[in-house]
Amino acid sequence: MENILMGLTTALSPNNLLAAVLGTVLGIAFGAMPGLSATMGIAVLIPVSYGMDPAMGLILLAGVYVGASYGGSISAILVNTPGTPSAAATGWDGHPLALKGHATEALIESAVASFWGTFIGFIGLLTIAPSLASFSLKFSSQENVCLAIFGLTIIATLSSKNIVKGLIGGVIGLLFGCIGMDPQYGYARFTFGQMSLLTGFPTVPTIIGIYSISQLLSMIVDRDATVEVESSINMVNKYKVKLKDLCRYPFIYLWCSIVGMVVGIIPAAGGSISAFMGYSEARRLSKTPEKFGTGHREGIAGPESANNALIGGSLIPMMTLGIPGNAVSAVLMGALMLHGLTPGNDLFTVKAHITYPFIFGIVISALIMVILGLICAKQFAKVNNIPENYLTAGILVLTVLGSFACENSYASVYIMLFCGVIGYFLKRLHVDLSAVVLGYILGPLAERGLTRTIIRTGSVGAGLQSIVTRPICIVLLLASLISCAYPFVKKYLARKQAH
Amino acid sequence: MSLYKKEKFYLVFLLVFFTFFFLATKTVNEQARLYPYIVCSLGILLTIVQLGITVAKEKAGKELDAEAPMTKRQLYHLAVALGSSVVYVLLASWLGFFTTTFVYVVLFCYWHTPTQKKWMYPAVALGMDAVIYVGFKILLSIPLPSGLLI
Repeated sequence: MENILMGLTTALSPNNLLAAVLGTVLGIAFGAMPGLSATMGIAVLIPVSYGMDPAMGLILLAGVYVGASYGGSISAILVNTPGTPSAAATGWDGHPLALKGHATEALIESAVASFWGTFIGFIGLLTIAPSLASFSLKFSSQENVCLAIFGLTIIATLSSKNIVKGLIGGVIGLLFGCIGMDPQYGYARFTFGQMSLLTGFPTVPTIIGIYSISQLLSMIVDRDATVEVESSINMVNKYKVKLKDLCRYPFIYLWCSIVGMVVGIIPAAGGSISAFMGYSEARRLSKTPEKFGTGHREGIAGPESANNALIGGSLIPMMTLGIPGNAVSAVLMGALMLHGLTPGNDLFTVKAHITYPFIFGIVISALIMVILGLICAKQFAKVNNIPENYLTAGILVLTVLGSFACENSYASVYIMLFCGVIGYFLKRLHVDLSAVVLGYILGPLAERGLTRTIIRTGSVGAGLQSIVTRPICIVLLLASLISCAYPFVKKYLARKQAH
Repeated sequence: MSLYKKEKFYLVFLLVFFTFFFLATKTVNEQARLYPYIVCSLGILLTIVQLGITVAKEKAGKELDAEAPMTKRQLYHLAVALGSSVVYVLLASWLGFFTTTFVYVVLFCYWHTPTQKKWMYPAVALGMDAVIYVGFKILLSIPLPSGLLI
């Protein structure tokens, strides 16, 4: 309780409030632009947060996450081009509603549902995460190995379209994690005589490279079409917000948010799945399901609340066990590490003065988001008018600056560019980039755990034996098996159904 | 280049990539070798499996779920984007961040879309420099790259 009060009061301090406003505004702008995402927004702004007090910096990033999760719906509603993949489901009813002349109602519904979703996700994070984190204290090196294996098997789920390619991506990530000194003895690996590589590929530049530079290259090479918004902005009608608008569908908000949060807790399930599930749940709960797809407000409430509840859900495994379930939480994990925070129990005890304000930053950002969404969603849609050449140049300059600032060295910038090129070509090969990041983050954890287990038990055989006899390890290994088998079972069932 | 050829080209490149690191593992101290060997072997194995799948699909005449091969124009865009980024970083370390950023933003934006009003390019570049200077250097005190100029 003490931590909760402290978190709330710290998050409400003027500086942190300002950071939340700034983060939310930038997040909404990032989310509203098709092609840019929360992942890129956070990756680009990590360096900005670096210069701030840790709690303030993380609140800024929380604001970006919350804002971008909502921002995607603006372009989905107005121009039927989802700013983020997870906003696609919002467009199914949002755009038809806008075409009917009720764009403002659609935008209001999206902002309100996003707020309730974020709020319920926040409650989940606040209540579940500390107890799960204290449970993680029972983990020794054996459990860490199994945890890393479980995290790595998520790759199979992430890449269910092509598992082998996903696994190749994961192995590339593991290889990136091998560069530098080995975690146990400190011997140099793959440094090729470069002193700057001794500490390995730094987290933030690597992640910025994989996600942001690869996306920037796609934008430059493919010259993604800029969205024409002028005519769509004219669709925004005059509408006075009523009190009822703030909680029009309480059961849908609640249930779809719970669904979204649970999906978020399951690593790799992702925002799109939660939004689609939210849509189908809203339809199931609705008294008028036949209206779905024709411009029905409930069709916006469901996916938006589920999509935003995912924020709290996805942070639970990341903050407690160090397993980033989706791309955004992987980047956020990099940000936490940059601020000297390691996922686990310490985050909720020793570093509680940073963690709790960050958690409250999420709900405060949601509040700012709903206010901004109610007042000026139309203005945010205009960010699509920014010419692409200035946008790409600006983002590139920021990524270069960010990578440099993280380590104060140009080596980080070259590493970022290298990872960006690799990421770009892997994307063209349809390899899921989240698999690369998962491998890169979890690889060292797996290696460290494995080496320590072998040293403690005396031999490889004894080490393996100690792993398979521990109850938590067995549960984690079973979960890994299920995670691996899931895409195959899913494919088999789909084929069976088709027959 | 057909879709299959392109896919195989990428996969062979990956095979070379993993094999290179597998061979490079020999130079690592014996105590730290085991894990990279496992990782590289996995990489080689998986790439061979994927290569096999691709060849089998080609023989069966199945459609490949892949991106269209890059056109010459796209390759040119990629080369310019990458080349200019590397030159930008090199010059930033020599000349200084702000000067280089100004020049880079003007040239890059003009190359990307030469149809805008000419005064816009330096104006935007100058604005970007100003925002970064105030935001990063003054307000956040983040260390910025420096060089001969500013």
